[in-house]
Amino acid sequence: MPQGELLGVLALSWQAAVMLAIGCGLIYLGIAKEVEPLLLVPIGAGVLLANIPLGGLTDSGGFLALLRKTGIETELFPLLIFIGVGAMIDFGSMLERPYTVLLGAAAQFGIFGTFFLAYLLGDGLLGLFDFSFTDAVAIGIIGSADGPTSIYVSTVLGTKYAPAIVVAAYSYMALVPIIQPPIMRALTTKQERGVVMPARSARVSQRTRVLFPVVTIVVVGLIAPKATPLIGTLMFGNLLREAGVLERLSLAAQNELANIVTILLGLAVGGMMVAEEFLRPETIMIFAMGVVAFAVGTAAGLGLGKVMYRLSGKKINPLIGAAGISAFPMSARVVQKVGLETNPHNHLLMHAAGANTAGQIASVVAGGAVLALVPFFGG
Amino acid sequence: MVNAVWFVLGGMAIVFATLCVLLAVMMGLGRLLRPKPRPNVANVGAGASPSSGRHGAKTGGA
Repeated sequence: MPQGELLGVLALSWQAAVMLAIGCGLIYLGIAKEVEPLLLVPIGAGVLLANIPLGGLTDSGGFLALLRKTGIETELFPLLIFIGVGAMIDFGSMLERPYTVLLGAAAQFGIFGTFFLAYLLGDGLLGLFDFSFTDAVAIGIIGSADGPTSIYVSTVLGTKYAPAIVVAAYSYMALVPIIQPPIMRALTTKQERGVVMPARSARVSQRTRVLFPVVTIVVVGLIAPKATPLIGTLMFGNLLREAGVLERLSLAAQNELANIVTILLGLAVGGMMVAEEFLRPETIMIFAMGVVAFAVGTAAGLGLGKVMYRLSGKKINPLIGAAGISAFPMSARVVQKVGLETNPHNHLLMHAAGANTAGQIASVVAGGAVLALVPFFGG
Repeated sequence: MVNAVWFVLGGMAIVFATLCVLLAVMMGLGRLLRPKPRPNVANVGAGASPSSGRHGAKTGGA
């Protein structure tokens, strides 16, 4: 038996060593800095396990290879996660302020703007990076600011950059409090940021809350059928929450199901980050694109927020548009914080939460839209 | 690149169209299934029956 098969250190390449350092870095960020620990710690552990030379976890039949095959390539894990997410989200703040749905829609321009830029840098015009039309679409989906949607869309599109896209999506969700405030301050005036909105809105009946997930499945499914798996699982989870007679199932979806799948999904995503697939110039560009995606989505939401500010006679604070990017609930909290900076008595949280939950639905619809359109335009 | 422009326009059109329909449905549901007004607690506490004006009216507060 060659010595290299006994001692992994003899088979350690510099690329694998870099990946081991990245894995340790993710674990450090998760535990020491508490940056998305539920995700970064399992992902970091997966990176470590996948890049130990001769460990065999990513070989055919290995533990991580099995997780990737059964949970990621079949799109099972993101859909199961969405059942848990749906059970955790209270859409009440959006139902009380239906106009916030449009802010969620506007913020999805982050997806399409980033796609356009990626395609421009790749095969579309400049040819600086190996980004095909499909790769560019998958990179754009980082702008959905939604992990499960990013995993689902990038896997269905079959891009080789799926691991980098997924890690970028999750990383930038944690960085929303750093990315968004400067854009919000730059694109709004002090007078706009200071608009006070009443905390209370029209009440919503329990029957509306129960009917909402059912109606959403039907409406979104009929208009954007490719979004049905995502919206169907998200709204099924929400139906468990709102039904009022399924508390056990709702709690199981929010806790046991979400926690177990988070562990498996994190390990599987980390297991996809093997040196040969991950360490390339395109990965760095994808991470740069992630910032663009979040910034463009924020700016687009603020843009529509400013239109609403004018149309409403200066009654709507445009800051709430920034929460349309769906990084739930971080961006709603950021809006609240920036609003309080301008006026210490201005509590925008519930309004921003409406836009934020609308962004969750809009990002799923956008995911379905890109899947439907790629065969027509991406050939 | 023309394809890319159409892709962006088509994608945003689908997103806005879907959410506008959802908005219309939500507003319709909100109107149809408006929550019942709460009984006037002050009056009930003062001894006035919420159904005193109309026999058998289902206004709650019993």
